[in-house]
Amino acid sequence: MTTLATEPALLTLTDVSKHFSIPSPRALRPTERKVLRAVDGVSLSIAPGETFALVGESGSGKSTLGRIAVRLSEPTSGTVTFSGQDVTHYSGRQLRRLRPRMQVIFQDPLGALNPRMTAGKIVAEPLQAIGGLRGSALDDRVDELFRAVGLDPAQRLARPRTLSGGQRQRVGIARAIALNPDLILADEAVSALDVSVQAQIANLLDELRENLGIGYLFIAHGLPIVRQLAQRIGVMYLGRLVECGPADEVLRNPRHPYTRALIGASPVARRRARRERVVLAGDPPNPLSPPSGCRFRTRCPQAMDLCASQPPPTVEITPGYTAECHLLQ
Amino acid sequence: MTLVLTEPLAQQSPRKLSVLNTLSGVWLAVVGIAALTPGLISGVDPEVLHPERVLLPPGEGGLLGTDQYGRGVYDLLIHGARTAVTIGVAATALAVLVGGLIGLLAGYSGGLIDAVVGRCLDLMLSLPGVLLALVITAAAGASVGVLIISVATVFVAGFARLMRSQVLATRDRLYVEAARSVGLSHLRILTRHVLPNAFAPVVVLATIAVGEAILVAASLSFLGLGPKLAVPDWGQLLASGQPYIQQSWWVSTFPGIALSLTVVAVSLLGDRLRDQIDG
Repeated sequence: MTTLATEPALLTLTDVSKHFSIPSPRALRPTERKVLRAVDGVSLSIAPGETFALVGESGSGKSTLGRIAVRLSEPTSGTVTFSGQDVTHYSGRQLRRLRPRMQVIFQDPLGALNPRMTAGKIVAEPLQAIGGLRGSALDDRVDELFRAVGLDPAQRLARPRTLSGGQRQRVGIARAIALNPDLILADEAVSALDVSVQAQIANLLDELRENLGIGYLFIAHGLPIVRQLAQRIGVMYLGRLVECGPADEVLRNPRHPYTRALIGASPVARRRARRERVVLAGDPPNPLSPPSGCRFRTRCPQAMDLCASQPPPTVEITPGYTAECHLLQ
Repeated sequence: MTLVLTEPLAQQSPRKLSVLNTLSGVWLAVVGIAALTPGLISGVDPEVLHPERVLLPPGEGGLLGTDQYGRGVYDLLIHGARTAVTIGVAATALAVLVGGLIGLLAGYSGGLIDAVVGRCLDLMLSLPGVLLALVITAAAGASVGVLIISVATVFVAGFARLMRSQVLATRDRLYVEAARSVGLSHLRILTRHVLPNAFAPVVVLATIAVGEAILVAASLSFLGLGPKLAVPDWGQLLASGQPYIQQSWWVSTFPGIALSLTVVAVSLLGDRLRDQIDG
């Protein structure tokens, strides 16, 4: 939405929802099912070479949205547009042809690597099976990728288990960039790593974005890493995108009470920079029966009567910057 | 890796067990040699009958005595090992191949296919395996090929079930999703990512199944459904000695011992293999 009219968005999600039907826990009525609205009417778009960070508590639906964005799962309603193509209902061969352009870096770097393959084979596989590379061209490209992600090509023969956490994630990144994707979903890609390694991997991802023009959908629950990487931020709460806008603006002057609470909850290095702190009370409500009206009202320090009766409108603060709250009207 | 693992493993298995393992290994090696080159440990041609040496006890009639045709029981056992081993190994291999493929496809595709295949497997498992093999052999006639197929059917459902459960567990691993997100084909995901990580328990079961397959084949032979060969296999030998068991116990007893030892040795080896894979 902030992108220039001449440059089409890389990825656009329009009014995307994902509902799961959950069997009722009451044993006597096994046919009664409840609907979990994991993602409920979310729209966002990512420009080529842009990092869009999705933040929110666990259970807010950010991972589900990420999986829809790279079509690892199909939305219940809404559309997914990738490079101008409607890919919402792609399946089978069509989807497989699309996949190399949208790759994933996973949270658990060890789990995402086949324990019976060496690091070199893991990185070589997409090049071989999809890129059609063979022999020395394949070897050279694998070496090149290893160096690009800061790994020693001598580690090609290492098994994932013998590598360190940071090295494993680098192998995962090398595999993800092997086929020159346009979009990478980084689902908590640094959360499982040591803090010092987190910064290295974050720098690597940013470097790759600049050099290769990769766009990221970066899912995180920690704000510091988002501050470092993101150009745009979307804040999710119980399946809704409650605030979405340019990163520096959202972080400097958050409009939604939930975003304010999130920012207040993250540690600040300088004492002077102390802000007003909004402390959230309680746990997020049960997503199977979200509160009426505004979903955040049960924990919102500024909740009013109106919030219980009507869902909040989406308010456009500046072009490309939206928030959902009654207070903003 | 190996260095780290050796010590705790050595502590876990007491000496007595490793003696047993060694003995099983030796026994299986003997059976293996007998199956491959029987001439090496028994120079006598068991097809030649000796009417003058009928039913001699061990000692007088060679190491293990002679049968009702005057052939040495020892020579018969050595030369009959080939049939036992061939049927055991081939039937198990066939069962692993067919059962594994069924389980792999059912587990990986899931949904309706899995449900239908699952019920069929339950049905097969609910029938007594030996009975099934008996019916097939009785209907198709006795030959080594038919015996292999009928023994294999006893084990197919078991392997399919095991493979299916292994594939179900592996299918949802993150690296399989990663392979999917890369855009790899189903065939490649199956052969490179699912199968290698699901196969270890199948290998263990296969080892144990070889022993059981030898036993099932011998049972069928004992019931007269075995192949009619010039050299009787162990099951036939067991059966042929039955009428004389009161006076000449050795004709049936030694094939029985050979069978039991082989089955026990294979089971022990399978257990050891499982420990090693789990450890």
